[in-house]
Amino acid sequence: MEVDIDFPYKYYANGNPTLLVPNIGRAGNKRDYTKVDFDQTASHIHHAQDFGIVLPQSFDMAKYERLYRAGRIEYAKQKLLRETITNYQNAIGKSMSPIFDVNTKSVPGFAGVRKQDTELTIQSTKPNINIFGIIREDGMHILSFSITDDELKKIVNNDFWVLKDRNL
Amino acid sequence: MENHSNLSHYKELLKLEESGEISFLDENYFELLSYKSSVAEQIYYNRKKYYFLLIHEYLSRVIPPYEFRSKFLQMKREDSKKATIILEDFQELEVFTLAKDPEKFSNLIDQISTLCFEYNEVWDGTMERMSESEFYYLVNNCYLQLQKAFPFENFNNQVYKNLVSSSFKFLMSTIGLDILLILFNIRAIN
Repeated sequence: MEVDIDFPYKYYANGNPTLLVPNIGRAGNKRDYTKVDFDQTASHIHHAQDFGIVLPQSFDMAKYERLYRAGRIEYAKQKLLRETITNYQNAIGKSMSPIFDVNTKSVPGFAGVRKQDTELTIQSTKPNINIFGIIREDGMHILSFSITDDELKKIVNNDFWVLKDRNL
Repeated sequence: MENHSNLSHYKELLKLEESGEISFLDENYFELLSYKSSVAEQIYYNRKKYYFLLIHEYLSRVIPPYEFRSKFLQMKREDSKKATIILEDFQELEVFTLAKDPEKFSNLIDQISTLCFEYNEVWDGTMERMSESEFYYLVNNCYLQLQKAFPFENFNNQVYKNLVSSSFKFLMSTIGLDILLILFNIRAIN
């Protein structure tokens, strides 16, 4: 590995690391780890700046956002250093770990029009900045991004139901 | 508009937070969150003309969808940053006033920013992607609700009013010039 990884990890057949972040979820959740996958992270690189990850100027965000998942992964791997994606994986892992910030909580939530069970993590880092993470029922981390206090309030008022109208 | 009357309570909650007596996501935390949110919501409300204008520009196809999404999210981020600054300044909060229902406006604006966010979302590859026409339809729906809830901000009406007003002024000045010309001609004949 070119960069230090702050969590246990394992390599998949494609040679990319998946971080195993200790799961802080409670409420009937038996999983030990949340998996932060390399490819899944590469498909959500448009949120990397929320974590202070700087992308090179040659990275065409408008082009990236027009692509779907497979295209995004390919483009991110082509345009970014492998360590940029791994750093982003590390940052996501930290945003789900109370050891990096005591203001970190996990709550059960829902996603999509069919109300799939999810685990949501919230870490309040600075005033009006909360890092919000969505984890699939099987423990795969889907995405994390920054939300403001009023956005967090609205998510709470919606009973932690995100992407309400999307067909997942 | 009314004064932000709960400033003393906000200060109390902040003290509790500083002393570690508020746990993250507990009841007091949400009360604090609610107070902070009300300031942000008021700032969105204060800039409602600009939000209306930006949405109108997109719906009239003056600006392309990508630009609209990016500008809309940026505008909301900027307003949220202003709220963070105000919340740290008690003197400013002392005179900060709230409209009767900034939350209603904020909820509708939030629906649009959620759409802007969701448009770029791919989930794990299984999510059906939103088409541009669906995005347009949903933004238009929110805009109709905004127009209904805040008719005085109806951008179309404002443009129409401005047009009528400038046409009337033009007409009056033309008539005035005509009268002057006639008077001048009469005088010249005499």
